[in-house]
Amino acid sequence: MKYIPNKSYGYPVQRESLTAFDKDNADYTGSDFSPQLHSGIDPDNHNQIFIEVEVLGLEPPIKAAIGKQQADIFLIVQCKNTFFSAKMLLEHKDASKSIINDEMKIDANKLFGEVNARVLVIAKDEFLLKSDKINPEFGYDKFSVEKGMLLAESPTSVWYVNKEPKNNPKSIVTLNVLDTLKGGEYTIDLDNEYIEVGIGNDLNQKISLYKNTKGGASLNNNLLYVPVITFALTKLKDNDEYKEFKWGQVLTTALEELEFSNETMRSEPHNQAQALFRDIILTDIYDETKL
Amino acid sequence: MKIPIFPQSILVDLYSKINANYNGYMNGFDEDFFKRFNVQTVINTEIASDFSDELVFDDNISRGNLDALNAIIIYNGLKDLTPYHAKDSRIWSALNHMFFREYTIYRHIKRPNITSKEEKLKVIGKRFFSKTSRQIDSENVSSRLWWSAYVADQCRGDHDFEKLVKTLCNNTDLRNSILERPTIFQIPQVVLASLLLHEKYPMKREVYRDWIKLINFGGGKHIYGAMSADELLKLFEQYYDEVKS
Repeated sequence: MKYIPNKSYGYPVQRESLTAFDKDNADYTGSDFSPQLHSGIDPDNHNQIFIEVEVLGLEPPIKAAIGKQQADIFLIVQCKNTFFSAKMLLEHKDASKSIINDEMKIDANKLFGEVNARVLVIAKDEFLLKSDKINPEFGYDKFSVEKGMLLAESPTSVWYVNKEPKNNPKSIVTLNVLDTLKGGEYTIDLDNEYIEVGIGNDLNQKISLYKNTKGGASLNNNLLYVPVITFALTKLKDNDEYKEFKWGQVLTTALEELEFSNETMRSEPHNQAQALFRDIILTDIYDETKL
Repeated sequence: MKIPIFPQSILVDLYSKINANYNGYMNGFDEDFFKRFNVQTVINTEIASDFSDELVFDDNISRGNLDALNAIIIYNGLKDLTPYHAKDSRIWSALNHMFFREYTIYRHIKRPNITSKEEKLKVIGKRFFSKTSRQIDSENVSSRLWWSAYVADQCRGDHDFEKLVKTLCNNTDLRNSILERPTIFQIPQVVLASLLLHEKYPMKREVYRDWIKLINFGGGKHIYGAMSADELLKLFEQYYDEVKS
């Protein structure tokens, strides 16, 4: 049996097991607890996020305990950035049913950046849990469950909440004019919440000249912004740590939505960057009113 | 008026010119200063145009209590500011420049240990601007106070909001644990149980540190997110007894 540091509890807890090796070494051999979590924006209220959960693969004795009210099954959603934590009890009164479905709605204004969701089964009573699938290395096929014990946990699903102006990946790019740069030179700094692009005075003047016409804006996009976003996407693929920044989260979410709606989109960063400038992917929260 | 927001480019520009604008930060910006910027506003929000006048400046109040009082004023005064907005440094920088300049000088710059221009510039950079989420929570002059009040409001239940904010602002170690390392403290009932125990047993740093260690370890064994505040209060009190004994 595989001991997973910081995860193993010293008693059987059902978890995700994707490979044959994992299944053989799981606390409940041959089993896999992988609830399906899907999140989206409510079409009738863009400030509301819904999370659909479909519970699959729960071991029958654990499922039976839920049906007998000896244990509860929860969906827990947390956002570290905004001190948000919510739990929803999933209704499952019919122990004979194999699937538990439910939906949680959350005010999107209470979330920012990374959001985590997972499904947990927690005992709320004392009882004896018996299963032939308990890994023989435990040396028993039944054990006493106490109130508060974790019986099953899903992997954590992660997604990102960011709202940016419509149809405009430029919203996560900041242009800074630097006297040290000449002609068409530019620099890209990714170690900030926004992608910071340094440009010289010459390039700034040319961009400003063209940006207010449709053709000129398109030219600016292709000459400057698409290469910048391409570079950022390339780096993002290499290093997951960039997802800590707002630009990394915005691009990740936007691409996921694009891939969902545009199955023919190619996966190379330069193709993705161009697609991001073509499709409406982001929502608007800021007023155009100026002080 | 609506709550202002700086475009990111203005933010970058201002940050690079802290030295050039030093007199403005210390003595007040001239009338045309903000007219040069494309300052925008946040939809569906409101702030009184004379909001700065509501802030408390009082040398006879401890810094913790001063923070608590102003945290509540800021939290109530920024109408309809959502947690999503409150993670946006562009909003806080605009607010700091337009409403909190004098308060920043009073609270963070006019201190006996800050004497040279260099030190003052450092504080201006740290308090008027934020580059990371953690800086928004703990260093930015106004957002750190808003988040303190928000965290207390989130967990308050039937408890006294003002008392909870005071407990939070007066216990630096606890405040730092909650606002700077929110892995377990993102759970409102964990925050509430911790604040209530602090009200009941004011803790010295040595006791607090061992106590918080036990809470952290306990988070590996218990699913705090699925427990009620009452259950957590009992558990954390057990940890406190353990530390005391």
